[in-house]
Amino acid sequence: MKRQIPLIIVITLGFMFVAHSFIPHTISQDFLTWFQDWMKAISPFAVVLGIMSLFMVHGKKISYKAPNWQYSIVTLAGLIFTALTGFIWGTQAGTPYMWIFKNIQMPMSSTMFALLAFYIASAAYKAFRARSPEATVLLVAAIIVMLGQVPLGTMISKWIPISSKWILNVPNLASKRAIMIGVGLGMTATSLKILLGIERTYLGGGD
Amino acid sequence: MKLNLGKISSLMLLAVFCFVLLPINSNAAVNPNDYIIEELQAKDVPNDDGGGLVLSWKPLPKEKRIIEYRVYRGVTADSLFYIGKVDVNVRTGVAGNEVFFYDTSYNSFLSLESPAKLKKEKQQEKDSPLYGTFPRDLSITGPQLKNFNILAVINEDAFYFKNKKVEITNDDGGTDVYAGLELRHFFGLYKKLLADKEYYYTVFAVTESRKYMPYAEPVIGIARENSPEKIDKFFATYVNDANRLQFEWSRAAFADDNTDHSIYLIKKNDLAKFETYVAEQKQLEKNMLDRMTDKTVAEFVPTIKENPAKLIFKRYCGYPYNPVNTASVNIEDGKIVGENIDAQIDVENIENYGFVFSLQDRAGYETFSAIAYSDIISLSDLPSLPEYWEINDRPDDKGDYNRIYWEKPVAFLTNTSFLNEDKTEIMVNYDFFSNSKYKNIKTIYFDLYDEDGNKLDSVNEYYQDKKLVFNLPEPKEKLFMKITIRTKVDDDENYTFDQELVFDEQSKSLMPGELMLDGEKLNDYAYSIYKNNFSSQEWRLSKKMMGSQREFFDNISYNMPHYKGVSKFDAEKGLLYVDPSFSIRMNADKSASVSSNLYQSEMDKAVEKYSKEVANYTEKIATAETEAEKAGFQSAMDYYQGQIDIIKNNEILKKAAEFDNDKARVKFLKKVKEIGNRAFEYKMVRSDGKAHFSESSTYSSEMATKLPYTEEIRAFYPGLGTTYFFPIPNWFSSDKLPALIATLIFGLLVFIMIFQAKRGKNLYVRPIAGIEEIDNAIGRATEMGKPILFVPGLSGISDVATLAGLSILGRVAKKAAEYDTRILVPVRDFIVLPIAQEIVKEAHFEAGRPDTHDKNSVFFITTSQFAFVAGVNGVMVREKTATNFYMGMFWAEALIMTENGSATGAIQIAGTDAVTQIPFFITTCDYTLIGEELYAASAYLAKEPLQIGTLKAVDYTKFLILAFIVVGSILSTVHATFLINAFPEK
Amino acid sequence: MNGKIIAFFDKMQKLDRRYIYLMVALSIIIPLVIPFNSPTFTSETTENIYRKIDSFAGDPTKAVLLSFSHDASTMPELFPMEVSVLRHCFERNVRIFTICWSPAAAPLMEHAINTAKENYDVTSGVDYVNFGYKPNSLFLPIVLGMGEDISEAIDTDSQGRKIKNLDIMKEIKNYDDMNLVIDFSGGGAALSWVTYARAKFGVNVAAGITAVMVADYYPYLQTGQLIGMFRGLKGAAEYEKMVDVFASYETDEYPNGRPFSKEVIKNVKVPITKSTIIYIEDGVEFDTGIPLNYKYKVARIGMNAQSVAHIMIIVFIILGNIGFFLTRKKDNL
Repeated sequence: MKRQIPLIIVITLGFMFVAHSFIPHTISQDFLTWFQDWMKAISPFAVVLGIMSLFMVHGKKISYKAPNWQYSIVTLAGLIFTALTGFIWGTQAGTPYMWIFKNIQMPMSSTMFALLAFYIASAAYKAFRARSPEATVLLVAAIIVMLGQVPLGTMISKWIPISSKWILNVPNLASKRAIMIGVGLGMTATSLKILLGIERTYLGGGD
Repeated sequence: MKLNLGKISSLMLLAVFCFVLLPINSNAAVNPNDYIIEELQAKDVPNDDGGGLVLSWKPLPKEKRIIEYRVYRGVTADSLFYIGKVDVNVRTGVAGNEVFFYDTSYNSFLSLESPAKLKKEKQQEKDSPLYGTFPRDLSITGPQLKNFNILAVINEDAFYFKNKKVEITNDDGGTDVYAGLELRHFFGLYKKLLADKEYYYTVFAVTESRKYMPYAEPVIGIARENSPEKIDKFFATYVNDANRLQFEWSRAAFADDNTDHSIYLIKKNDLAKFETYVAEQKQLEKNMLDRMTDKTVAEFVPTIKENPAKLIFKRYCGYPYNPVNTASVNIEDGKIVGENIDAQIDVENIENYGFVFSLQDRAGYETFSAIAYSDIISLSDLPSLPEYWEINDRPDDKGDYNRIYWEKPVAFLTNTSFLNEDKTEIMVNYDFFSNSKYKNIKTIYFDLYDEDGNKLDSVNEYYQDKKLVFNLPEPKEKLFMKITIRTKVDDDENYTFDQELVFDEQSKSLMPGELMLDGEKLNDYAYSIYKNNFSSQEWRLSKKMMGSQREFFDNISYNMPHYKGVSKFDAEKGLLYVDPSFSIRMNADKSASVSSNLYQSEMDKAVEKYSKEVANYTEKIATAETEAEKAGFQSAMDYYQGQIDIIKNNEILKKAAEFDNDKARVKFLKKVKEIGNRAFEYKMVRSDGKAHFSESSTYSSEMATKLPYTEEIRAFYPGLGTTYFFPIPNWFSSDKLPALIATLIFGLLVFIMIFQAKRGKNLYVRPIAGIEEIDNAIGRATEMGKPILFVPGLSGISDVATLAGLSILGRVAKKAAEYDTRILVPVRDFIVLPIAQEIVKEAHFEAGRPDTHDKNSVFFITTSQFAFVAGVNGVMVREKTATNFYMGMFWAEALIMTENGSATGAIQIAGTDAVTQIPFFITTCDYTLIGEELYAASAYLAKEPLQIGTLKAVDYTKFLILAFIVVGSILSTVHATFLINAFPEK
Repeated sequence: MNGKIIAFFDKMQKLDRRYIYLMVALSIIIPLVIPFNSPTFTSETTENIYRKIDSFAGDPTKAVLLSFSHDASTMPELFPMEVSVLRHCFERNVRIFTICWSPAAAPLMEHAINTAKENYDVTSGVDYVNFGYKPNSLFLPIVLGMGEDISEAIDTDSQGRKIKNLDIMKEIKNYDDMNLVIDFSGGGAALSWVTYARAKFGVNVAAGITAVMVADYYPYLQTGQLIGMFRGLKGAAEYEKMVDVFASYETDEYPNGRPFSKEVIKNVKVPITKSTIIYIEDGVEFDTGIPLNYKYKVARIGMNAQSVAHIMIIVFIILGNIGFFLTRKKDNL
């Protein structure tokens, strides 16, 4: 029963949504709106679960004094403190909450993103070696595309941006489309498996 | 860095110092009184209906770091309520010397989003008169209703079916019946200021650190009813061979209280008199306003009482839509034709006449435009109307659009650029507008000519990519393009446009000139589409469009709220009282509205009441002293008699009266009303904006095939389906037919393959290294005694990739449980969290190792993309995971995770359908499942016939798609586009 | 000598990744601190957005919707795009709506508008409206609802005002009028607009995305489902230049900027080291006297850093490959 009821819900709603995508009628559209209203109601519960999980994981670490348990204090304190500032002073411009957002959250997020530059550089350095003819093609293409992205490329020759565009538009797109078609079918197949109850792992457990 | 308690506490202290002290510190030691705003004034808004005030004050200097100004209003100085704010950019302050706040037109008064309780404004003195916004508590807000003009917008079904009948004794001792509704039944209550009433306003500043400063001394504002604005454009034309005058004018910006559009005729020798009249009327208005504030001002008496100009046209415009802004007036034997019009014109000497347009408002004010003199043209100078146009229900929609399309497609050049230094190779961009009838354009020919008419080059655009390349023998300053469109339906070889390309010094390129069709500049004349339904008296503008446009979808919303005034309430029951009557449609000749009531008993009472009024006026007519008085009483009596006739004789109301319960009756009326409101008739005006226009007659066609509701209800609406068009909801979207067929084929293949697999047929599947390595990777972690990390992607549960990732998680977790290896699953989406937890738990149970399950092994980190990555990296480094799985959807953060994982020396297996991230995974991970392999993984691991069968079906479908791609490419190359056209285009 | 070279390349082969990190850091920081002039070549994908917006100039029945689907992390790339699009619209009197779908984007949106409007006399509710933050779960209902009636779908703006009553909405009803949506994101958000708004209502959709995501969007650009695209910081730099050259241009003939021309943008240079907008064409300088604030050239300064970093990486790759061949030769010997 524990498995069957969710399965019935999934299968019924699944087929209803399949039907919905072919039916433009207002009854079908209203059904979607109504359903989305309920979806909204689910999210807040899930937030509570998320925060509980966070507290449980870190709380356990602190109470058992697991290695690096001090970091957990920082995490929890940060969470509580930020939430409190929001609750007490509101989230409008000029409040401590916004101050935290602007001066802590924003720069930290940017920093993490900026790491990409370093990682891409080192990944490129590792990957682009003319080990084989295929790898050589990859290497040459990479250099052309990279040069096409900066003014220097255009200054060297006007053919560099044109070739770069060609590489992106023709070979790159061809392979990309092939993968996308495969992905599309894979998604459809997975969805169908779920709809037909063949795939049930997402309900918990293997089979 | 190893942390200890000492370091932690100092860190925390630092944090507290930063968080709390910094923002507050920046505003220490200020004198609040320096922050009181000055020069606060509340002035009447000109040209309005007496419902608008504009507040202005001097902004504080930007050094004071103001973030917003908050505005409060009340009807007494001792309680002022928050009504809005003006945001200010802290760094730059306000440009200019004044800040404005408009308290005009209907704006939010009360809704479900209003606070529950009235609150005193914070950070103000104890005895401050400032409060927050009006609360939902009717004992406080209810008494305020009478201080404003309130408009309630009510949910249609709530009005019909959720109302409570309420009887209230009125001043005459009788009972009035109202429909009582709760606040949740309203979309909202909107307020407008009452004219000539005193309102108090005050404003205070809020600083960057959100400190509320003291408020300014409240000021009084009184909104006054004003005459309408003067429109800026008015044109007149005399069409000599039709003996007709044509007029066109610009629409007023503020038209809320306008009631009539009028046009007058003035002889040139009356001009001076007319100007005096206009000036005196203005003076009279000013005098009346002055006398309102100061009783000692002497009354102004105009010398000219009657307008010396002759009325030749008048039309009602007091409805909340854009009214028609053109008018045609016919002349017969030197007399202007029109109801209640009595004017002569000598068309031979039309230059002796001037024309003036006026706007009238509800208060009776009239504002005249500048005088226009007509130019004389003939019918051939007027723009041509479409020979072909069609209106019907738009297919494949939910029933909220009619479509209107006309004429053949239009193609035109938009831009050019040179492709080489010699300027002999040019790229020309073009665009085209088509419509439902000519959906598939066969081809467009572009022929390029030089100034001498020599053909230089031509292009056959059978696939319209909106780009053309031409080669010229030498650079040219001027070129001509001939554009011929060939369509699949009634193809015409000679349907050709002309457009010039002229070199422009400024842009240094060839710029496209006017688009010409049959010698007419296509874009000189715009199309205005007007519509009208059974419920309104006059036409309204639906859309004005460029002359090159060929199709328009007219939106007809399902949402038909009821608009009502509200002044009575019951605070205890939480009810607001509204008038229970509602109009259904106009009567056949559109002279009066057919109205009903939520309660049938009230209909009977109304007849009684109207009969009394008729008797009352009959008496008054008999005793009237002057003719004018008599006429007034007569028209009042006619009105009441008309209402009685409608209630007694109107077919709809008669049918409604047959119902014995109100609910069924209202249900019936709702359906009838829907047709009255949502069926529209259309007409089209093509104009250059200067009174050179042609107007079509109302469109009519054969009876439509699909009509709403039953024959019984439709019978109330003659013309429905022929002149009035009602949008019909559809049950199948025909453009999704290919998708449906493909889905069915795919589904069928799945069943066939599963069937074959079940019968034991050996279905070959290609081995995938990444999947085969999963077991080894888990084994490796077991050997090393280190945990496994599994990231099920960053997207939510609605993403199929996440579901695929979770399927794999189930299998990996089971294996890990069997090997007794710890698995760590950080989650970004909190809906995925409980699902992942359940999966891992079940996996342990299935492996027979419930004891080793740690429910904290699946944990939430954060929803922030990069913070999540930081968290995952932290887990990798601290826990020294031996094997990392990344299965699901990843974005830009992917590389940061995997590069770190590779640095820690873990074995990494990734699988994603995010095409862009695949290269990063391939470089940094040991094995990568590319695209669909992620979806196939679950089937591989399960090795069940059901799963393998589906996998096989995917392969065959892919083969089918491939076949279509190849055949489609070949067909398109030989200009056979039927296959491409069989698929939806967007 | 030869041995020394081989030893060097041998070392290069085993180079600790941290040296690469250091070089990348330097090649980014130095150009940022010391700006220099480098040419900006515009590409069609960006020009298309510019031209589309430009075609709305001064038209009260047309508007552009900017959808902010990103948080602070991708701000360095996306923020200059947003500011230049806003600046373009303010210069050319094009009506703008802004909306975002996550609470973290709301302050960024606010910040972008404030940054751009500082130098223009524009009013909220008349020239632009900030729809504010709408929960992501409402994405679909809002996107589809705007196809019928924007003021119904959005209801209130960021200040809680009823959209319906605002001046800007007078002649704007649905996607027929608000015919361009530009989504700024570091992910796939713009594709949702293509799937729903474009497929159903035929809206023009453009994307402002981080360079990492560019390859993902190419298929949609080729099919015309996206009318244009900002390709990361480069796109922002191109747009900045176009606004400088066309929208900021002021003469008696063109008081509110001149129309776009490929021929002009190809040949004009706008030096970023100057404090005013100066056009250099065929060596002739023309100083417009219009201040060129830092915020309006930040993408071009950033592009300098990107150029240097690109070249640096290319050099590393080439060095790495030479080393690879040399060592392979040595091994083969």
